[in-house]
Amino acid sequence: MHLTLTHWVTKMCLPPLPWQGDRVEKVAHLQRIRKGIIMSHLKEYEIIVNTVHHKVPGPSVTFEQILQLDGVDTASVDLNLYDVDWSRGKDKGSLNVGGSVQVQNGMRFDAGKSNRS
Amino acid sequence: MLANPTAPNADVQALIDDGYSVVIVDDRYLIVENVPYCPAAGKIAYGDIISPYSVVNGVSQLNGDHTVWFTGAIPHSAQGASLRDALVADATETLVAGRKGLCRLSNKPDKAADLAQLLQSFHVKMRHYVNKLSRHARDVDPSARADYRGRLQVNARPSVFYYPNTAVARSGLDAYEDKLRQRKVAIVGVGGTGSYILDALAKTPIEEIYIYDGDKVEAHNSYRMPGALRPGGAFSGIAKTEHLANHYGQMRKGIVGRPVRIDEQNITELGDCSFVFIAIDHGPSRGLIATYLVTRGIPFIDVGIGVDKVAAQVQLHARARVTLVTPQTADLVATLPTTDDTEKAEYDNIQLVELNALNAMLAIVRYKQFLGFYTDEAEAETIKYKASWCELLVNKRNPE
Repeated sequence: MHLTLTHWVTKMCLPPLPWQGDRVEKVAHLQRIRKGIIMSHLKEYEIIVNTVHHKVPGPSVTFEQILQLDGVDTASVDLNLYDVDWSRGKDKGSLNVGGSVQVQNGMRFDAGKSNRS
Repeated sequence: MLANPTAPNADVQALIDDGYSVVIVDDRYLIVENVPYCPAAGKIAYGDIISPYSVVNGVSQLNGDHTVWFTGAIPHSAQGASLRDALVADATETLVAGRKGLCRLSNKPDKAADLAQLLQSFHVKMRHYVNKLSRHARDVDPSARADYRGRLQVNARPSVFYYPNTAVARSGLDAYEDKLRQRKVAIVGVGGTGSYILDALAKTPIEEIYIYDGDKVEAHNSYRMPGALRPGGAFSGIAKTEHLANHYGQMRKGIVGRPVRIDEQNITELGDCSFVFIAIDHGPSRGLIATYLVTRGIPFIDVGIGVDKVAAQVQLHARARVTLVTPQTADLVATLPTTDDTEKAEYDNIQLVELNALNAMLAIVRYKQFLGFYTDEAEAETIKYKASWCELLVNKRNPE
């Protein structure tokens, strides 16, 4: 399943802000925030999953999305059989089923099983 | 002088004939006891000189090692000048041959011919250090000398090995090796990874190593085992456990082959193990064994590799995993791949001895860390090797 940018944007919600200034300033400020957040969601990130390059909408990707990018039909397999690990510069980490991580351009993912002897 | 017909080699007999009190420990240490030396000005004390010892077919094997351990303090001259710079290479206390070595002595004879002789004869080597120490004691008391009764004592702890590991003696690793002494360890699954686990484990002083596997040796799996099989062996159809028990039984005793899979009926066989390695493909069996071991409080390591084809580049994308589960981290069982993976694995057609061996050795290092043999700052719960990244990932949850 590939998420579209529109889908991503429509899922966005803005947190309520405490505001002390006048109304004109408040509207302008909120517009800047919305524009900034929307632009950030419109941005695509290039990530690498099992050596293959993919473009994904940010700001994060999930365990399941990574497997889908690798061609795994996540609806028909036991996800507990899979490991998803990531490398982002010096940072490394693992995703559990249902977990997500912030993406950056060039971020690498390794997704697959480790159950053979 | 006591002529001792049981002395195992001419050097030892010569030391006895010289009147020294000689002890051989586990066939890998030679000791001359009660050697006088000066611990301080005008004082005499006695210590033991200990050398790594190896004899092959009656011939001394000094292996180029001119050093010895000494159970006495830093030696001095009769006038009180320290001999530390002249004699002592290392003053770190080390347990050697069951005795406390307080310093390691290193002193080469001045003449090359003397050094060559020292490196060929335990008799010359031990006398060299006896003289270096006792001549200062004789400056205090001319009658001071090493034990004059000329006797031999052979101390041998029961060993599972048919010949001693002299490398341990040369490195002074007795106390370290003692940490690896276990009564019973099991390897469930001796395929590619499990057989390499056995290869390393068999060389440690575990009394009994039980190996479980229901498969037989076939030509294709002989490509993922340590060593090599003749065609007759590769096609023999012998049980893997029998082949491996016979093979490693050449160097040690205590390898017990069980040509069966572990299931609900026989899982209690693992109940008296101090540690277990799980190296199997079948997820439900992994779950059964892991759950049983956790219930019994038995620590274990589960291993696994994974390989995917990157068809566009005609390359393989590979990974390996090691998970250590202890009574304190029993919840890690939930992270293990315990479901039935019926997918036709590409792995089945690929021989990957290097991944199996690497996975096994990572598991062995983690096992030895668990036993306190290696330092362990990371305290990893899971180690993941990513071949493509050429990296090891260490997973450890932060304690709450």
